[in-house]
Amino acid sequence: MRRVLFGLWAALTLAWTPLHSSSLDGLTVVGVEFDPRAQPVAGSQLSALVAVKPGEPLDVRLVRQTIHDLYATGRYKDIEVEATRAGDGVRVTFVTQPSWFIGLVDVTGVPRPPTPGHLMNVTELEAGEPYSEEKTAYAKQQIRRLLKENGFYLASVEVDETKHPEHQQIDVVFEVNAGERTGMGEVIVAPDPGLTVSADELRRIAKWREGKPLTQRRVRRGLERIERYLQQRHHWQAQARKVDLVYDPDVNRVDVVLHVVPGPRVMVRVDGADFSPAQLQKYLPIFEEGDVDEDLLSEGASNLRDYLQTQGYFSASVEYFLERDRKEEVRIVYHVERGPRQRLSSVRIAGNRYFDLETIRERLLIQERTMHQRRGRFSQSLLERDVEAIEQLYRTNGFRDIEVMSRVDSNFGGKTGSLAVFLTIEEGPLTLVSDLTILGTEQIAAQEFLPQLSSAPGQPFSEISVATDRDLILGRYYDEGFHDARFGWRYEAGGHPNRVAVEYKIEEGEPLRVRRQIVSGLRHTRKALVDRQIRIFPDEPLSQTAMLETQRRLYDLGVFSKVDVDLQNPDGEEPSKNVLVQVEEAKRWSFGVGGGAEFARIGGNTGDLTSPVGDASFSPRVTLEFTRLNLRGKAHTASLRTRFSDLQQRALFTYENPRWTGSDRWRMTVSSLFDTSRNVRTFTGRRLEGVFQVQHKLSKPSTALYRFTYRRTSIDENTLQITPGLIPRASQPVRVGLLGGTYIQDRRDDPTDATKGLYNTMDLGVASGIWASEPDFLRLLGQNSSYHRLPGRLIFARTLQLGLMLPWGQVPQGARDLPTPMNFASDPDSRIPLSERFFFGGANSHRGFPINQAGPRDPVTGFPIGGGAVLLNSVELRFPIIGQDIGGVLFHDAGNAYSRPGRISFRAKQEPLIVDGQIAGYEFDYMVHAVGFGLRYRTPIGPMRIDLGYSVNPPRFIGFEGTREELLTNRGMLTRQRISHFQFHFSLGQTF
Amino acid sequence: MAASARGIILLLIAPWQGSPAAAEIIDKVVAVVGKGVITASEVEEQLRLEALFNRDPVDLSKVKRRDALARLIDRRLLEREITAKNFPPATVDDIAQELAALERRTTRNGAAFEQQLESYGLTKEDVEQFLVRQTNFERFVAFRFKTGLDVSAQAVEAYYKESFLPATRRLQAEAPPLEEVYDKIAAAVMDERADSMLVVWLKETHARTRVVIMEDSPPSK
Repeated sequence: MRRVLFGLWAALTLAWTPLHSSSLDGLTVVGVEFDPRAQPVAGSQLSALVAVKPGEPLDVRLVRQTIHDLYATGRYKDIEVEATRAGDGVRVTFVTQPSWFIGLVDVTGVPRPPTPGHLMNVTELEAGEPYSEEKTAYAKQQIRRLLKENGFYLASVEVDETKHPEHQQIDVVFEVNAGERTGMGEVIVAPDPGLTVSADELRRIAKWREGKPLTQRRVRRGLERIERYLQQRHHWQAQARKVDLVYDPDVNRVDVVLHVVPGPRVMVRVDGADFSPAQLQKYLPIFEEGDVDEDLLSEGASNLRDYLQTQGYFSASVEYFLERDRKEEVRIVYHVERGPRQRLSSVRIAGNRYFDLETIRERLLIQERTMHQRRGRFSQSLLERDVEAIEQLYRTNGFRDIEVMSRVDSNFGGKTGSLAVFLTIEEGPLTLVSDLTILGTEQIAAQEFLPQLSSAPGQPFSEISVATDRDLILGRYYDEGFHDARFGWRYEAGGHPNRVAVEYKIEEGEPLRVRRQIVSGLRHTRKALVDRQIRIFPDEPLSQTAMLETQRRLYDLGVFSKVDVDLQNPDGEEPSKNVLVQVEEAKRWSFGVGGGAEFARIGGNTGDLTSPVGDASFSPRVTLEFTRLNLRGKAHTASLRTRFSDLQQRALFTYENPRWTGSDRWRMTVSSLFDTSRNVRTFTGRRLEGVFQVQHKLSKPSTALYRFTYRRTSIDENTLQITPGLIPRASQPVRVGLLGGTYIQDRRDDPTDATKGLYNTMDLGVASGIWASEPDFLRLLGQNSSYHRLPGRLIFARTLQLGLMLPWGQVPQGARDLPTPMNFASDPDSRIPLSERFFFGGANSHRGFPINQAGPRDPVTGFPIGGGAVLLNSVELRFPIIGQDIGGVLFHDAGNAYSRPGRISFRAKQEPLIVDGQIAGYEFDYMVHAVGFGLRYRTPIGPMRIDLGYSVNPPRFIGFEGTREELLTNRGMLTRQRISHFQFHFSLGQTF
Repeated sequence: MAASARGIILLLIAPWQGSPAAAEIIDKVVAVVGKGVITASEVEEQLRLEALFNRDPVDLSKVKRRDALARLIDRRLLEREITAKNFPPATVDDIAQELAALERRTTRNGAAFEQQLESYGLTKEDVEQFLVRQTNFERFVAFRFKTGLDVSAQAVEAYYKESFLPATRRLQAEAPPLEEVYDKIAAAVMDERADSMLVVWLKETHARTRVVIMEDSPPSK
């Protein structure tokens, strides 16, 4: 019976009849169908792919070809073709299973470490790639492995898959129940004959205390410590590796099984030259890499030779060899032949007509001696590379027969040890392109890239120019989705001597287009906001640039911690692709606590008027910051920043829309501020302020700010350090409404530390009763800065700042100017409230003054009372001192805060006010000059700065020795004082 | 037992017996190699071609199909490499001589050759394509694995002593001197080395290429 069954089963399986012997072969196809009817490939594309056509005879080769072509799209997992007799013909049905592609991947429920990023990486699941159960199983296995390495031995991992049939995508979420993290147990060491350190000692070295949580990082760092311990004992090839982790569930501990191979002791010796241990550490990479191999030994020899060459031993040679006395010890001997000590006195170049000397010299590695490099830089190999570089420069520019000859004079000027290099250039004829023909451009007009081509008619001809053109043309095609575009070229004599006709031939291929964009990962963010940032549109060419631009724009929203733009089914042969835009939203709430301190001339008792300039003092501060990102899912941000110190209490609330009106050129900010500060020593001001500001990015370098500010400023009468006669006026609360704007033009190469370019700003504000301002005035502040590179890595920087305040209208009732004789010259216009005036001087303006100490002063107490105008001209010479990171500055600052715009003066001498033959006061409307020196240390956020300024003509003033009470009761004493000649500033960032 | 067996038989044959329009599976995917597939009809065609060249009857048994599929997978791996390296393909003209030789070997005139092919379920185009592919493989293998391969005199001598002489002794034939067969042995040693390199290459390529053999394929007979 069994045999019968088997026979029947075998016969039935023969129902799969190969077409070679099929009775259906050659019958007319009456219909082609698909099961299921909905196919993952679009209708028009499907018709093109199916070679089996109704009305034609059935042909097995066409069926096979169709299977191949359908599968090649990447959209099918399996295909089977059935044929059914239908009358005299045959109906063909393609039974298909669609492919699935990986969508969002996430791993949840794991405490750190491992980090979410690490977990995601080990899954090796890439968005857009074909999905398979094997991949998921592998990913799960990898997660388990990583969890174990981080002590989660009892973790369970479940896979939650969500299918999105509309775009054949599966989101895969690995839900982890991590359980308790296990602790470190015993250290078990596999025996090694060279190892003399016990297991307990290794545990101590690795800092693996029993019971400490097991993490991958702890194990790795422990192994590094063991290797370092052995390396410090000259076992430079020491290796410590984890062989196994053995889990004991009874005590929830993991024993670490180690294999430690100390390797031989490696001793290093240098013959023929003296190197300190620190220099050997620096130049021999075996110490840093902790390994000894041919490459590292050879690199060490090169480093030593290079160092010697910088010291003037231009013909130095370094060889190394190994001495293996015993099995346990290897000696590395670097043998140095220093040769004579020389200096490169001169590099002379002749024969160049097409390029100037500077263009050639900037390509040279050999260097004449300079102040920084006293012996210059030279070696035969550097010279050969320089000759090649010059020839390459000429060849690139059409000099196909260029020849550069070099000669070294080792007794230059009759001086022993003085070298000179003579480079003689024979340029030869210049070959120009007489004609350029571009063939094959049908879908992109050649005119679009023609103006940018290097091999245009009349231009020098070279293979490098052609290569540049090729990259440009193909780049343009790739951007338009022609990913199979090819470039070919040829040239022939152009009819005249040294002229060639060039022909480019382009095979465009078919463009790849975007089918649709699939956005995923949004939780709170509005999809419309994301859609506006996407630069990839259906049916448009698939452009790599557009994909990167989309990613950049989404990151710029500031609400996503991760943005990936990938292709779905990247390897599938499809004319159009789905583009996946996957985002991960950043945390919406952030909270920051910070601390800091100011050290400056900010000290002094507020009740004591003795020291108007202030004493050097230290003021600690605390900052708190709350930020809520992505408000209402629109990428708006609200933040509250507070700062508390004994100088300042400040709270700033800001609401920001970075894409106002939907455009990334417009940014709107509304802010309100509460501020009580004593940053000007004269008073403690309290400010309540609201600002509405719109920022408009006009172009890459140009920005405009439009702003309305309304503030109420009051001054604590008890802190006011000016003459009592002015107190009622100066301490009155004032409301200022300021409508204005700023134009910024920034063409600097690096805003934090510019070396070339321009920086211009113009700020204009109008305070007027029309918008409920109590004082009426116009405020203008402009800056023009420029930066210039000079030879020898010198930078010349300069800036000019001018500020004017122009009041109008009536002098308010109760206000009056200073009483005579003190109002002789430097009395600021009383229509401008004290808190609105220019306070000037310090690290970021005029370095001849302590902070905010420039300009007019109270005639009795000597405290600054602010000016109605400022002028500052600064010049700096910036130069390197050590390497790239430490530099110096010589500066000259000239300017001051002046009482009124009309009193701006270039006069360098301060005039005293003589009354009855006695000095009764001083005027302040003169130009203060300061020169100085500064140090800069480069950091990623700009240079750290120390400046020491010497003021040539610091202001003298009348001050008051005594307390405020003594002043009010006419006690105390008037004294003559002056601001110190020397001023010391510490700050971050260049001055301008 | 008998009744239940009858039930099963009826159940199994019902779809074919009961419907005049029973569907036949005329082709399907039997293996995935990288981004491409091998279909059941390709496996069968391979068996038919091999039978033709070996002048054997066509055997489409499950075992033969499985072996043929394994050979096709190896060939597909090589084809991928040929495409990736832009190796110039052979043409029908390149295999004209081999086709003629095959024709002479199997039949006496053209008409009989066509009949012969038909009896194997093949067309002349199938054979031509097969020969083209074969030529491509041979050329590529020679280029990829024999270029720069140097066979030393010691290697030839060792082969002569260790393999050639014992083989002739077993055949009880007189062994020619080394000088006479030197070139042939050098070629054989080179072939042997190229073969072993090919085997290693195939193993490595197989390991790093996604190869999936569909569960019920090829269909068993």
